Amino acid sequence: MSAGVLFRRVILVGTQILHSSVLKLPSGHSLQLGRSLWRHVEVPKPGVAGKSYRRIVHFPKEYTVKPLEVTNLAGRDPVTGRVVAKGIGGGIKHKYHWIAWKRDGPTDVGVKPKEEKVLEVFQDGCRTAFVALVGTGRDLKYILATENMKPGDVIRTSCAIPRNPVRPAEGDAYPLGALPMGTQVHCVEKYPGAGGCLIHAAGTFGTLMRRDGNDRVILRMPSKREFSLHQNCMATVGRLSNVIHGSTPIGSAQRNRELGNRPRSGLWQRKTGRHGRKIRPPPPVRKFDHNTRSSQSVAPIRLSLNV
Amino acid sequence: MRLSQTLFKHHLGRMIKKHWVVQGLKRPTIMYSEQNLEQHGIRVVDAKDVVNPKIEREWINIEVPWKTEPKRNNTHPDWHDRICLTFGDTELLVEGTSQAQLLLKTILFQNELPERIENLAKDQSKEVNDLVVRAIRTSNIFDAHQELLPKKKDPARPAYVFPRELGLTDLRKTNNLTQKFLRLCDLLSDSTVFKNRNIIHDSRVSVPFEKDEDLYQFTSKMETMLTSTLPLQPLKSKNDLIDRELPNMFPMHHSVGLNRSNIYQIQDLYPVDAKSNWLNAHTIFICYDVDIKNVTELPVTQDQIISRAIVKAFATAASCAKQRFGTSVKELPEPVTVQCVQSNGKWFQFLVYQLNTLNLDGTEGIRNFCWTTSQIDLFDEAGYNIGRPVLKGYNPEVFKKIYAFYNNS
Repeated sequence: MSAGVLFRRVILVGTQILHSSVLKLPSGHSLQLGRSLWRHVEVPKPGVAGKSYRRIVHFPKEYTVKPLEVTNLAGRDPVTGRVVAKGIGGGIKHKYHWIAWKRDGPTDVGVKPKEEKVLEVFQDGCRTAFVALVGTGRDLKYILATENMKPGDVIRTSCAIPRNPVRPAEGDAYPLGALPMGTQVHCVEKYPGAGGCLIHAAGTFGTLMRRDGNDRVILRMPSKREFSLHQNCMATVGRLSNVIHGSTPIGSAQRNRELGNRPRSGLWQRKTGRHGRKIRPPPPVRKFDHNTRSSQSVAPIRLSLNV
Repeated sequence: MRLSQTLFKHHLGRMIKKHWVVQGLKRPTIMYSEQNLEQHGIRVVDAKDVVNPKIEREWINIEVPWKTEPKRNNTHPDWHDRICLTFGDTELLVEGTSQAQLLLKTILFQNELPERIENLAKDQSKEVNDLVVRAIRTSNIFDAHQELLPKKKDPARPAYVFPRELGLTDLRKTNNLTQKFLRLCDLLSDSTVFKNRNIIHDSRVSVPFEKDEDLYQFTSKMETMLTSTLPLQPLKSKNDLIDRELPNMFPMHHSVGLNRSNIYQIQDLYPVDAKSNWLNAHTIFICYDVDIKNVTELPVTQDQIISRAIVKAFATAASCAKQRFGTSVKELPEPVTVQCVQSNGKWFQFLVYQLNTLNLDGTEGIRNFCWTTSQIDLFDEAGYNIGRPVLKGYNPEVFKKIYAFYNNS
């Protein structure tokens, strides 16, 4: 290559660079350049804060019993679009039934519990336990159905803690402090007034074990772990419906696809501990408290390099 | 030689970027320099504000040439502070007939029709029944119209997709049957009856009313409405059964599940002018379609279908009463009776509603009456079986009742 040719090429490239910077070519031009470059993308972990990246539910502002539209995510993080959870995708699209997690009732001991009537018990595609439609006053709402719940049942709710423990029926909701020890409960609040968030899966229940100090109760979870919760946390009495869910095989690979799971192999992983724990002493009682919840670390300042 | 190679020589690409990501996560130590500077009277400004100062731009409202939907909040032109409970065409009552009875203060006689109508229902001759069968064939089998039918789903096999069917909708079948049956009734009836009847298609009624300090508005669309010159005679004295108890819905209120909205227009609608000869609603024909479903999308019960007809018959009777006696009428000078036929093109359900009062407060005092039958099948099967037209199990009871309704006066 002669010096003249090289010179001409440099000039040519130089004019191209000049053109691209001065004449402002369409942005598609620069996008094409950036495709091969590595770019760091922060991707969330599945299962954190209860997010499974299976679907987004389009919740309206006010509570409604109208089944809600969903957008299936197929394991993708909707912000970055990257696959976060493998093995999710496809399946039958189900509308979401918005469960009223908070059970409200009178707070005075002298007032009779609020009564609600079960209108229907039905299967919901988005969860394993059955869902019950209940009505009281002018309102309709969904709750999780208990094992023996049937249309026509009347269920009671009270937020008061009397001196003696109450004698609850299945489906009733009371604060943990009002229930006798040994009661089976589900849909338990972690913090008073937060709405029931523990024990939602079909056929599961927690057991009230003993009192912990003056204002706390120890609850044994379905996993046999023990949680210490405030006595004002509301809990629904009884075992959740669809008890045979746990012992029912999926049946076929196609049925698994209908459930929205993608094919996979290598289920057995020695080190994960998925198929049972080592026999160790049970972990200590975990205490859920408002104080421990609020002391979260402050997010660090991010510096970034724009190339 | 490519220039980029030379340019990228110092640039380690991914490594540098990753390094920045990792180093960027470091927590900067707080030096309190801002406070220290402020103590010395030095103003601290964010560097970003100096580099990119905020430009205050004036907000210009551009009036668009097209019409925009007003926002559904308290700036909406139809906004009222008082909530209105509405019942439309595609809705159902959650608790069915017991809710309808409490809401409309109505005593319900299930599975029976008034004696006067039962006496009018006489067996028809073979020729007439042949004509009815012919009407069924023309409207349910030989109608050449084709429309996309709703999607089918099998709950046992939710993933199975059925081939999409074209055919006749329930609405079209019902309207065709109604027209043909009414034409047959015209031909068979005496001229003294026939000349007093008039048919109105696709009519609307809207009736606002108050009950126990709540505002309600029921709107209803009737596919076919039969009007008459003379009002239907009451079937029972309005003071009868004054001590019969209405059903109990505790712990629910009788308005449970109704639409509650602040955005509405209160209007009294009746399809016939007050000065018209054909003022009196005689019989309404309504279609039960697939669009009609619970707000929860749970399966519809028979009880709910009956309650829908009760509400529609009440709405028609009430708006007719308001047209006859004035919009503010509460205690009616005489009862207003309306007959109702609900159908999906296969089954028919008959109902007679006697409106005695529009004072619906409480559960005591004068009540309204309603007689209803269960669903009666017009036939077992009408359609095509392997390409051949089939009509099986014709039931003459249906036309007998329609004829009796037509002749009732």
